[in-house]
Amino acid sequence: MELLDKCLALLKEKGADEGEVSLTHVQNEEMELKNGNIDLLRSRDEYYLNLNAIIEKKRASIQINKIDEEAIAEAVSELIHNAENSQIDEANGVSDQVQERDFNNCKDNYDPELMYKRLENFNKEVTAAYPDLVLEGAVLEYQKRYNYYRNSKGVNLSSNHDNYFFSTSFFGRRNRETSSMNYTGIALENLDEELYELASLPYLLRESVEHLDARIIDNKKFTGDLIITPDCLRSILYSLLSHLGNDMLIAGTSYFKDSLDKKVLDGKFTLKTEPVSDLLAIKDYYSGDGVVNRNDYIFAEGVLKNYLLDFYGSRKTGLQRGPSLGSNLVVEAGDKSIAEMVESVERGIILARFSGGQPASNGDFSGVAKNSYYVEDGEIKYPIKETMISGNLFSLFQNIMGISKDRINFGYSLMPFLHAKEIVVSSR
Amino acid sequence: MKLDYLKSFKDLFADYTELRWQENTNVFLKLLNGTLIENGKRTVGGVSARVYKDGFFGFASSPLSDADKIKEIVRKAGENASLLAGLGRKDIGKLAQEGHELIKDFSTVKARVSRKEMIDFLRELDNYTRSKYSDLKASNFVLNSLDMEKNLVTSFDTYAYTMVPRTILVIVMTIEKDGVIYDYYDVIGGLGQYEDLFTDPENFYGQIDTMYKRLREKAEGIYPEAGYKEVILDSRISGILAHEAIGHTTEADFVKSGSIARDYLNERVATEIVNLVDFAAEYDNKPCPVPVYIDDEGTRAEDVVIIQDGILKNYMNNKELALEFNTSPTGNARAYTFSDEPLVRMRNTAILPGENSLEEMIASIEDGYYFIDTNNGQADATSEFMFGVTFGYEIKNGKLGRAIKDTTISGVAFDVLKTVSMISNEMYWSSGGMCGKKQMIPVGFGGPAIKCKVNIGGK
Repeated sequence: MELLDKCLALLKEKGADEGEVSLTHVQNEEMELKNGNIDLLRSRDEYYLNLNAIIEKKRASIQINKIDEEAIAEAVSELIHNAENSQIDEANGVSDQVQERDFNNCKDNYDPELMYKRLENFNKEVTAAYPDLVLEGAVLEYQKRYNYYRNSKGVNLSSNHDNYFFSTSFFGRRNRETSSMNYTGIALENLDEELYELASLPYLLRESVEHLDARIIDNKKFTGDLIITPDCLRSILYSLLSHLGNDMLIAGTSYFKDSLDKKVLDGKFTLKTEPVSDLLAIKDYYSGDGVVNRNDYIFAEGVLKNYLLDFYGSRKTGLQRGPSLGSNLVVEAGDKSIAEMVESVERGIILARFSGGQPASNGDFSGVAKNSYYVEDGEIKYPIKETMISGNLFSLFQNIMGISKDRINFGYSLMPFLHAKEIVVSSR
Repeated sequence: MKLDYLKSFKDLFADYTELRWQENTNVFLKLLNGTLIENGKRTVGGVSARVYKDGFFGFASSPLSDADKIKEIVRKAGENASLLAGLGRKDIGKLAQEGHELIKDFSTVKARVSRKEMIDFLRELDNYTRSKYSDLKASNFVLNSLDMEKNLVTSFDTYAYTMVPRTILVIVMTIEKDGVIYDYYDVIGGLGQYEDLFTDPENFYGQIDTMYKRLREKAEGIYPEAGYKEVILDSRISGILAHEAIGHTTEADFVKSGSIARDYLNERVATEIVNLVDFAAEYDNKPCPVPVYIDDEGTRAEDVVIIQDGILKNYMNNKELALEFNTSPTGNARAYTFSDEPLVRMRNTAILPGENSLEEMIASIEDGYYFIDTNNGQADATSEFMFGVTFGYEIKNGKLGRAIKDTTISGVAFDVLKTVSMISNEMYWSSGGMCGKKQMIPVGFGGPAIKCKVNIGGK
């Protein structure tokens, strides 16, 4: 792309030893359902130009959303000044994994009238099927994204990609009773299916209404099992993966430090990153560091196979750059039905949403079990409220009892139900 | 300032129209164990138009602001509104159209410092910290500034320019004890640009010393006992309670959906010593952490008294919801970037100080906890909240005991507020808050220490 070549030439002319430039152009059309009405249509057309300069191993970066010559010249001038006044770090550099690649996955299937129809049907069907459910909001958007990357070592990458994304939040309400907020988000290749049938939505919508009759657990405090739903597992995994990224590995505080090719989690647990999976609507062909992503294992049968470091993190730690930076997570399916998992629980809960902070560095966590159910003697007994759980993140993935064979496809991740043991459950 | 330029497009406004030029400038520096791992700046700006027609909003935006592009987005926003109006049916009447003129600029009047001086400042803090406390496993200094500059011209003669900067320094310290990692973090700074807030590293050495002392105490500390207990939430935590657990349920869009607060207007929701206000711009004649004098719909922002003497009195709203609730707009419609539409958002939400001293509050508890610091909080439609507690002490027989390790507390806010029996006479504003609700947005929250009962998720 000519614009990026000009930027690189300007960086070099102004004194950069190494440089990298990337441009993202996003076209977004968003329709919003709020309080029963589709009352907003928002059109956005955005550019993000990222410039990085390295001078004598000193680095600075700048992002602007203008692409005219004057704006670029001003940004380059400031960038060079900032890089000159930065700090020497031998790990600074731009990717030398030289490739010229162009990835194309555009379907150009934007259809505002179909968007309106799907959103209207979602409202009608959900309202009719669940009279005690409040749709707090729903957003359906179409996004088309063009990405371009160049660096001074000759890496030349580009991609284009489009998809729909649907997100919604809701809760149950009957008279003065209100159940906890629930939500989900799903990426889609097209709008062939009705929205209310997608991913875990049928389960989540029913769950919100059932929680109007939620109870405080009779047994005030016990140690038991945990069956984590796909929506919840996805959010918990992000905490686990923070130990595989730049910050914690560079600081030396990662739980998985020096653990490559070691069995660190339960043998039943296999997690992959699939940035270019045919199964998932979202594609993540390459990252901002100019390295092409690939499908690979993160954990294979409990063995750590890859960290998720970027190019800088890799040079800083002396470890390999990750197959991706953690996009498109896929947990391998197990061999249990969900019914079998529930039957094997003597006492525990089904955790559908976890409201808690980031676990402490040692993995300890505690928080509120939202939209969850009490399980005893192999049966789901009742929906619960005002229940807290505490445990250890790493112990959880080291004590897996089973993984479901059914998985939910969110378009950017593929998640099963996961059954683990030894969690402390307490209620008021 | 782009006001005059934007005014030149007023003739294009056929219906209710807001035309906004906005630029957000963000500088971020991160020093990890003495290495500068981030040294960046992000500037995102452009123009947006929002048109209201027959009950529907059309919105369009562009990073470009030449005359042709502005004409195009005003036309596109109108077309989007018309498209929806053609497909649906909903006309609730005319939005408030009272015009205001305002200029408010919080830019520093000092000379701007160079990037080198900012990096040197962080290095001095880091040198002090790591040379004095050599047993630290990691130290992390993050400087983050955000300047939000907005120009707003509307079809009803509002002309407003605001420049509201915020600069915060996040410090994280990590130690290892018996093979277990412990962290402590703090946020310093608030309203203003770097030059007005970070003049001398030595000003922060005392806070660094306190952080290290607390980190050590925490590593030696105990896990609090799980269960329902009487506690004191420090002023650093009560502000999050005000924002997360009460504030969100009283945003009018959420009230209209059916949040728990919908049923409680003019009812008792707290003990009579509890007062809670969403301040627009000033408290005690001083600017709040995120002063909002005029919102992004052009409404002059007013303080909203949410709870008065324990009674739920008002909700926060925007123009459309004010119309539906048959009240006046409060000035809570805020957008994060130029390409975002205004949503009902809090500004500076706080529980008001009471009459007790912190010492007499501690002395009044036989068996409980004093929770001092938090790193996050969440709440939902039921007003059930969760906060991560990162530091505190047990209280035994009216005296502070051992420090505690990280834990989580929870409760149903409208129940918890009915257990508030003492409120301290101090006021602390948290200035680094970012609230997520479709868009992120800077918020302030504050309060005194309160004595109440909550669930504790210890071991």
